Amino acid sequence: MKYNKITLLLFGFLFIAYTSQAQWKIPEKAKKSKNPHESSDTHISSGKKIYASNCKSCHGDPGKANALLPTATDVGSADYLKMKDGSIYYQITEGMGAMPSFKKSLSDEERWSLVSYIRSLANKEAVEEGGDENMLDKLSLKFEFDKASNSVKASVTDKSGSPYSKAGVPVAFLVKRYFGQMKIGEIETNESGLATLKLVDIKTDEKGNIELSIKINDRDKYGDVKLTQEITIGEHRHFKNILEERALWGSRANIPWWMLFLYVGITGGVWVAIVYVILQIKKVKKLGTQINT
Amino acid sequence: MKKDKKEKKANKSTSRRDFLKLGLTLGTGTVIGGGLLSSLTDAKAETNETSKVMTTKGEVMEVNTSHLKALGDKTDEMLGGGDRDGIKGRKWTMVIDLAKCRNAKRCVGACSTAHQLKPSEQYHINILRMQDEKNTAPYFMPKLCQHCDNPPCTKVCPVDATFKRGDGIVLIDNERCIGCRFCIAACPYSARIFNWSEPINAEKFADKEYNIELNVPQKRGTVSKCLFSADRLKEGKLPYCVEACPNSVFWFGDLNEDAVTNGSSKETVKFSDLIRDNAGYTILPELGTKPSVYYLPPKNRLFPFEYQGKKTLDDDKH
Repeated sequence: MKYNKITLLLFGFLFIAYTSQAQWKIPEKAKKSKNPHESSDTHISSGKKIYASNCKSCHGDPGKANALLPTATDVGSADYLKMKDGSIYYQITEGMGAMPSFKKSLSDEERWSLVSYIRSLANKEAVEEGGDENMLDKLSLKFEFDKASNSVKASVTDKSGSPYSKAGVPVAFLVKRYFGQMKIGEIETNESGLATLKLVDIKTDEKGNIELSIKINDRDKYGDVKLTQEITIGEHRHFKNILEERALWGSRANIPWWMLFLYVGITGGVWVAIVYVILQIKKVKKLGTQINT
Repeated sequence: MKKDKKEKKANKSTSRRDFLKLGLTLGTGTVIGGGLLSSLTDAKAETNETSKVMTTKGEVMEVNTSHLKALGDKTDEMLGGGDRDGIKGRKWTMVIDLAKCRNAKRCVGACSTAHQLKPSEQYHINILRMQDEKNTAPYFMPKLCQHCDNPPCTKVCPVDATFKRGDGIVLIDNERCIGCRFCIAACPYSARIFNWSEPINAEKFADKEYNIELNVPQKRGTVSKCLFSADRLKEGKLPYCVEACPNSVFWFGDLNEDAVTNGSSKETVKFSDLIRDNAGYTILPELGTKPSVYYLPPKNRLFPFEYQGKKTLDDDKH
């Protein structure tokens, strides 16, 4: 019986969570507002970045239905994209329930960029459906490190091995770190299929190596194209082991020199004084016996 | 020269451990029979000779001499001494983004479960409610052990129970701790707690072997505190609190790699960029403790402050 009640309650919560999504009250006026910016590539890509840092932690990847917060809508779903630009803008601006308002943390332009990006997802879907299936898996990647310029040159080639001449393939550069892959840059290829990234202040392991992965960051268009390789980009590093330091917080073996000398000095001084006093007393006694005789 | 010295030092400590090993694995009875020492290194043919040994839990038992086998390097591990050196070449650091915290307390829950702390009584992480002044905005601030690079707590420990590892973590060996609480007094961040009474589920965990990297089972009359989840780091996982946070508050990573990973979004970014772009800071830097935990100021907050239905703190709480 008790479990039944709990499941009932759970279903109740789920129902509320479900219906709360449908209860967005968007004023008619807000629905009609239009995106003041034209949907340009720069807007879409900046919207994409804003999405990654502000929205992804709850909504997940658009179109993949992998929202991290169960109640968060998948903004890439066809249902969601039926909404008008104005409504999406209003939702981002005002927020509701678990979704916070972004009125203060994102500027007006940034919010519209987000709308542009979300809207672009709809177009992408259309392209995907009617798109060229043969495009997939056609490209391959290669990269080399140039020590003189301290940069990584990635080249995109098609199946025949000649450079991919269509510019604008986004190539992401990732470095392996202890808890995950760190993105250090994303460069679009030029006409000769090259994307060059200058490495600025990338920390290596002890031997001066990094594990670099490059991948084409447009899965829908080009499929999964990825290459991982370990390259040497720097000198041998020595990691400072704080346990080798002489410090007060360390163990007895790592006592600071000044403290060792101070301690030995004071203790030795006290002993010397005691011995001196004893010797003096002995002298007094000796003198006393001399006088008596 | 210097290397020689270090090696010597290492030898010294191993010989001390060897001595301990001898003392503990062999009960007093076995030491009398000097011939038994050789049986430590290589197993003999089955004999009727028995000897008394003491288990890691302190019980004296009798076994056939031929079954005795020295475990060598594993001795420390067996005795629960654990790893006092840390993971080589790492220097752990944490970044806490105050703008994202909405007092969800998932970090606290995950931490308390992992470390067997008493709910709503003992905390390794405290979520402080901060308001500097009447007219400034209040915010939530998770506060844990700062794992200082110049820790005041390890300086005052008279029995070397609390110590710093090479990878930056400050740990406590509860089996060495005598409960003097000097470290609690020395810590300027109030990060340490004391087990005044029998820990939660004491009977249930009585037989469990003590894990120095998890501080469990908790022991009555000893000190406990945040351990940066040293047991998880060893496996390449993020700490319990970092992983549990739903609001992207915690970043955790290795300073030698200059990278931190967010526990919620799993995004990895450059530590130096994150700190520079967001004006990161450490708490009470004037004490010279050199904390390993960094804070990002509560700017552009996603969630409004609300505690017990109030939007600000009472006047006397500022």
